[in-house]
Amino acid sequence: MNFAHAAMGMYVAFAFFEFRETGDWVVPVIGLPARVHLLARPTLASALAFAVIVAVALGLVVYLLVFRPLRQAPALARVVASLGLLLYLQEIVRLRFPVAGASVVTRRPVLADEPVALFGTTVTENRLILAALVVVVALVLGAVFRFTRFGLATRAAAGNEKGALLLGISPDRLASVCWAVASVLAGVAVILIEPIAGLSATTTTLLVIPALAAALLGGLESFAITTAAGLAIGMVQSLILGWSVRPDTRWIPDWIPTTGLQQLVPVLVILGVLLWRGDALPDRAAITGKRLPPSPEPRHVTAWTVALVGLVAVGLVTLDSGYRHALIVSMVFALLTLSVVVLTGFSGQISLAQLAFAGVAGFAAIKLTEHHVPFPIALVLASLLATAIGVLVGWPATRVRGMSLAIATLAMAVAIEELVLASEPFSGGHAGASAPRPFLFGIDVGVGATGSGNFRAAFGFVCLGVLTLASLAVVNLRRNRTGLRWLAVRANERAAAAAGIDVTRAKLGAFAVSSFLAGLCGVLMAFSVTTLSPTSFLVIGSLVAVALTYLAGVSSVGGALVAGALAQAGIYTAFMNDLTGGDANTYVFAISGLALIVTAITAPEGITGLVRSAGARLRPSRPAAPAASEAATA
Amino acid sequence: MSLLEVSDLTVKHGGLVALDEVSFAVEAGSIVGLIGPNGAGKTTFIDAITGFTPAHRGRVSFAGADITGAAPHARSRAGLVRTFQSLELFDDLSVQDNLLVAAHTPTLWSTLTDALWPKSHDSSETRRVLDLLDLGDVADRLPTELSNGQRHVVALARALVSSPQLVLLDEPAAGLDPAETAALADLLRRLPATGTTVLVVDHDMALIMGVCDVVHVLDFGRLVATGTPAEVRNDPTVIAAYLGTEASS
Repeated sequence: MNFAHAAMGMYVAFAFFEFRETGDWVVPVIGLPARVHLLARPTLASALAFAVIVAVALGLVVYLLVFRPLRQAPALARVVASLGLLLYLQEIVRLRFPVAGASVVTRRPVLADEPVALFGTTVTENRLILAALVVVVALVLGAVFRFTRFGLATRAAAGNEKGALLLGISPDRLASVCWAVASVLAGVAVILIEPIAGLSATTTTLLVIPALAAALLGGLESFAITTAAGLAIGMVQSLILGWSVRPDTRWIPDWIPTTGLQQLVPVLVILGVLLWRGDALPDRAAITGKRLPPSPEPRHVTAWTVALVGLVAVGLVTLDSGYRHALIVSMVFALLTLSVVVLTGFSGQISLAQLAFAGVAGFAAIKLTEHHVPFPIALVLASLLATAIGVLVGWPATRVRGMSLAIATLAMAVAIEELVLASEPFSGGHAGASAPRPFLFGIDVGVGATGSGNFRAAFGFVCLGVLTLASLAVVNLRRNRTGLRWLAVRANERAAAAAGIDVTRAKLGAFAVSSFLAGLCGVLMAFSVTTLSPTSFLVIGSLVAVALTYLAGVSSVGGALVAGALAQAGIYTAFMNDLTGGDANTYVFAISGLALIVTAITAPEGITGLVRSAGARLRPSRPAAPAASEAATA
Repeated sequence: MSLLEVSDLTVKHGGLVALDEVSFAVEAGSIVGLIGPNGAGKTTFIDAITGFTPAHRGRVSFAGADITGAAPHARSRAGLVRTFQSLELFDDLSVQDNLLVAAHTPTLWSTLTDALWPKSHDSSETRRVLDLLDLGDVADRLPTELSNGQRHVVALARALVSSPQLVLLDEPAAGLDPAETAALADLLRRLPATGTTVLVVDHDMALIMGVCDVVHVLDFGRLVATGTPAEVRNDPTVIAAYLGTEASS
C-alpha cells in the first residue's frame, strides 16, 4: 500500500498539463535543471503519450528505489517511506510548477463537458464518459488478472512470494509491471477528474483516502467491488454536498461546515471495513517481520536535563528575537514529536492525526481563556480534551495495526480537520482566532506585544518548563513498567496478552498519553502566534511530525528533541538560513522527504541511533555484549 | 472440584474441526501431560483454554469460575498462564524486563506514579524467579544474545513470575539437549510444591513419561486415551494413533 499514490498521480497530472501548454518536461529531481524542453507544439495526443511515459517511469523508479528495498521491512518503515515520497512530490509540485500556487488556473480539459439530459436531470458529458471509462478499465484489469498467465502469476506471487519464486515466477518483474500500471492509472485518473475535483498539491494528495476506502471495501483484491464502491462513495459524497448546501436543509446545525460532511463518507467506510475485518490479537500465522528500532533505556538523564535546560535558558536570554522565535517553535514542535515517540516508538502504533489533536486543544484553550479560565488550567483542560479525542481516534487501533491503522487515523484526521477545526464558531473559520494574553501566577508570559518581531523570553521559559516536565515524564514512563508494557505490546501482542497485559488498555493508554502531549503542543502553539488559523493543523503537518521523528530517532526522547530542532522555522532552519542567506526553508520539506525515504531504507534507528552506535564504537570495547548490559544497568 | 475443568470443548478452523468435544479435568498440585501426533490439536487446545482461539462450543472453568469467554490477559491474571512453542520472547527487552512486565498488574495510579518517579517498581519477585531458574547472570542481556536452551528457560521464567496456579507449557523441551531436558524435568517436578500445577505438551516421551502423573492423548482433535504414563504407553489406541492401525500400515 502506498500513501503517495494520489501524489504520484498528482505529479503526472501537473506534468501533463504543463507539457500541453509549454512542451516542457518538469524534472522532479532536486539538483537537476527544473525543466527540459521537449516539443515545440504539443498536441493532446502527444501530451497523453508523454503522461503515460512519465507515469510508467515514475512508477518504476518509485518501486525500484523505494519500495523494493522495503519489501521485508516493518509496516511503519513503508508508511514512513511513502510519507517521504508524498512530501517530496508535493514540494516538487509546489516549487517547480508556476501555476501550482495560483488560485484560479484554467486548464484545457481532456474530455468534453457539454451538458447531457439524463433521467430528467442534466449531467455533463465528461462525468458520464469518466464513469464508463472506469468500468471499462476495471473490466479489462479484471479480465487480465483472471484469464492471463500474467494475472495468475501475480495473484500467486501476492499469495506466496517464496512459492512463486520456486515456480520460476519473478515477483520483481510482476511488481514492476503492477507499479507501472498503477502509476499510469493514478495519473490518468487525476488528469481526467481535474475539471471536477480540481488539481492542487494538497487536496489531490488526499484523494488517496476515498480511494483507499473503496479498495478496502473490495478487500484489496476485487476490481468489481472496488469500482462499484468507488463510484458509490463518490456519488454519496456528491449527494451529501449538493444536499447540505440547499437552503431548505435546516436540520444540519450551523456549526458543521457544509464541505466537511462529505469527508465523513470515506472515514465511515474505512472504519467500518477495518473494524469488521480486524482482530483484537493477530493470529498465530501472522508474520511479524522486522522489528522497529530498539528503544534503549534512557541514560544520564540528570546530566542531559541540566545541560539542555541550561543551554536553552541561556539562549532565551542572550539570543536575538529571531533565534528566540526559532527556539520557541522547536520546543513547541518537540512536544508533538514527543507524542509520536510515545505512540510509535514505545507502543508500536502509528497515528497520522497528532496535529489534529493539537488543533482541537489549541482552539479549546483559546475558548477557555476567553471565558477567563486561567492559562495553566486552560493548558491542562484543553490537553485533556485532546486526550479524550485521541482515545476515540485510537480506538480502531485495538483491532487493526500497521498500515491499516495509519489509514484509519489519516481518515479521521481529515474528518476532524473538516468538521471540527473548520467549524466557524469553534475556530473562527478562515479568519482564525486570537488567544488572550496568558498570565502565570500573575506574571505576563505573553509571547509578544508588537507582532512577530518581538518574541519574549518569558513565553520561551513557559515552553521550556512544559517541555522539560513532559520529557521527564516520558523518560520515567519508559523506565517504569508502563513503558515496558508498551514495548512488550510493540514487540509481540500475543505474548503480551499471555503475560497478563491488557493489550487494548495498553494501546489506548499510549494514545491517551500521546494525545495529551499533542494537546500541550497545540495550546502552546495557540499562545505563540498572534492569530491561530485552522490551516496550521493540516494533515500534512502530522505527516511531517511523524516523518521528522522517524528521521531523528523514533524510539527515544532524544529523538523527539532532535526532531523538534529540525522543525520548519525551528533552530536548525534558522541556523541554516543564517549560513545560506535565507534559502533553507524553501527546500526543507523536499529534503526531509528524501531524507525520510533514505532513513527508512538504510538507518531505521534514525540520527540518534547513528550517533549512539558511533559512540559505542568509539568507546573501548568490553567483553560480553557491552551495549546491551550497559543499557540495562545504567 | 478440579482446578481446570474442560467440558465438550469444540474449536473449528473454517470447516476443519480442530478440537471435537474434548472434556477433561486437571487436579490442583498435579503434573498433567498432553500428547498426540502432529496436527492432533494440542496447541489449539492450549490456545482455546487461554483464550487465544474462540471456542465454538463447550465450557472452560478455572478455580471454580467460568472463564469460557474471558480475554487472554484476564485468564493470565487469574492465574492461568501459558508459554508458546515459538517462545515469543520480547526481543527488545532485557531478560529481567521480560519478567517484570509479566509480574504486575497495572492500575491507573501506577501509571501516574510511573510518570512521576524515575524508578517506582520493585524487582524482588523477578529476582526470586531469576535465582530459581539460575538466570541471574543473564538478567541484563537481551533474549537474542542467549542460547536456545537459555531462551527456553526465560520463556518458562516469564510464565512463572506471576506465581500462576496453572501453567500450560507448549513443547518446553523442543530443541533442548539431553542435559537441559533433564534440568527441565527436575524443575517441573518441583513446581507443584510451590503452588503451581503443570500441564505440559511435548513430543519428548521420556520427559512426559518421567514427570507426569496423568497423560491425555489427542488424535484428530479427539481425546482418545487418558491414564497414568504406564497405562497410556501400552494402550492400543495410542499406539495406533502414533503408528497407524494394522490395516493401514
